Amino acid sequence: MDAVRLQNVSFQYEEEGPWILNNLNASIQHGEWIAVIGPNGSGKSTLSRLFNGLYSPTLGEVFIGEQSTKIEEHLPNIRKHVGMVFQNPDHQFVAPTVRDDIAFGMENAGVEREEMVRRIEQAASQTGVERILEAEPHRLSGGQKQRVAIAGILALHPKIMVLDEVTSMLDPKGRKEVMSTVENLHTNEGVTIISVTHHLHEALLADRVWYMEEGNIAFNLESEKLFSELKWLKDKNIPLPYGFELLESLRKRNQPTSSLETFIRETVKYEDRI
Amino acid sequence: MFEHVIIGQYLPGSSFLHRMDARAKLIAVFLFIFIIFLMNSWAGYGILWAGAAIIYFLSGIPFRYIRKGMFPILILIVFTFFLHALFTKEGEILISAGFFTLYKGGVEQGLFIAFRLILLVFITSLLTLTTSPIDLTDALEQLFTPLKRIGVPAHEIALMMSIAIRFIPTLLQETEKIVKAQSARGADFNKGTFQERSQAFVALLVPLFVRAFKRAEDLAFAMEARGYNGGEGRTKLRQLTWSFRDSAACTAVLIFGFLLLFFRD
Repeated sequence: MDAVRLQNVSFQYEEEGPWILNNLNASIQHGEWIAVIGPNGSGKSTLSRLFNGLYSPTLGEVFIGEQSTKIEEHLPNIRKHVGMVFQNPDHQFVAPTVRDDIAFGMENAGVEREEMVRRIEQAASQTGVERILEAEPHRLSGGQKQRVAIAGILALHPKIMVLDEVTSMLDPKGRKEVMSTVENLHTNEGVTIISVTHHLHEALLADRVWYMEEGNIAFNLESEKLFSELKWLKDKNIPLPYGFELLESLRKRNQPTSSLETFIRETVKYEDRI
Repeated sequence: MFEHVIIGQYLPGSSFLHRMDARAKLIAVFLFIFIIFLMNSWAGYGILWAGAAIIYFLSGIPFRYIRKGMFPILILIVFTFFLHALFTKEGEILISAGFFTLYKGGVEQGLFIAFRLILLVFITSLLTLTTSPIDLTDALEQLFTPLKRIGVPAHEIALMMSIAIRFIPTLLQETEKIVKAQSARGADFNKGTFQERSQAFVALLVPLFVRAFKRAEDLAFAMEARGYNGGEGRTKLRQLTWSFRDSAACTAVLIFGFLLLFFRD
């Protein structure tokens, strides 16, 4: 059983309006990490909102496990299993303090209070926000707020986490904090991750990359394969990380020694952290 | 610019009043205000002042905070005092000069109104000084829950209030950012005629509102994504605990009010 299955999914915001997504078919395995890249307006963000039923597909169906997001009664359960973190750290912090915000999702799900207290501690330590539980949102950095958002989802023990350009409004330090938290969850907790991103080096952390173009998944390949598509990526005007640029120009000059190439391959995904 | 803004005027502490359940405080304050408006004699007001003083000593709040809270309404108090003193024509004449006469009943009436206003602000200040805004909204939600049956959306009102409180600092920060951005483009918020200044203000308000609406939309999405589905079947992390202290305090205020009824004229 796939974790997520898209079956002939098409989407338009309004009747007569343009099709934002065109007949997508794809599936995601449990524990997999998918990075979704592509130019603005390619339908990435819209797609991300289909996974937990914020939008319902106009045609076709999205299955989370066996449950279709089209059926209203499934939504509370789907939203417990599919957590979603958005782009703007300030626009998703609901409660007056970190502790209350982590609890928000659990309160909605009707989790008992003692259980809530226990899970808050756990989720906070997994995301490294245990020291700021009493802090108010305006005293936190963007990276801290995003980690609080992740903690709030984590407390619901999700199977899937959807990240919609979560690092795009953060400084390099915040990006680093958030991405290592996500990596950690993926490796240690086996959470399936779907991350929409503009940063290619973040896409390299994933197992597979979906490249979206005009509402289609134009290619769907293992992230490792990106290294052999450098020229193609460049033709598509995708801003390449420094390591990619370096590799590309070395190749042009027929110079990469294999050890240098291996080094770049290993390090480029951590470009933010160097 | 807005670094020193405190939301509400809550002053953390551990006094008797601080430790009281917010619901008990709301009930007690409501009762006290009820008594204030029933009172109409010198003796009665004397005892009310004494009662207020006792409550003040239970709060452990430095007096300057109360004074600060009183200051803005001082003008209102003085104004209403003179209005009543000059226009109520009852009792003996105290001063008579030409067409100006001051009656004893007028001065008395004016003073009573002033006492009422001062006591009112005093007691509500003590409430907001000793209770955090979020405890207050929780208490309101719980106190209003029985009214759900007649269609009062208690949970929604409380949630709206707590989100509003949470976003005050964020909106202030944003205002500061916009002020700076518009100043950099040549907008001047401090100089010029009233008309010029109010026009400059438009350059502040429009982006602020546009962003607030965008924020509201995003927030609604985020809440939905996290399974928010109204108050049905929701549990709560924050707990209010009603103890013996709370029952005792409410009973004390109730008895106090009952005894004061004997001092009404």
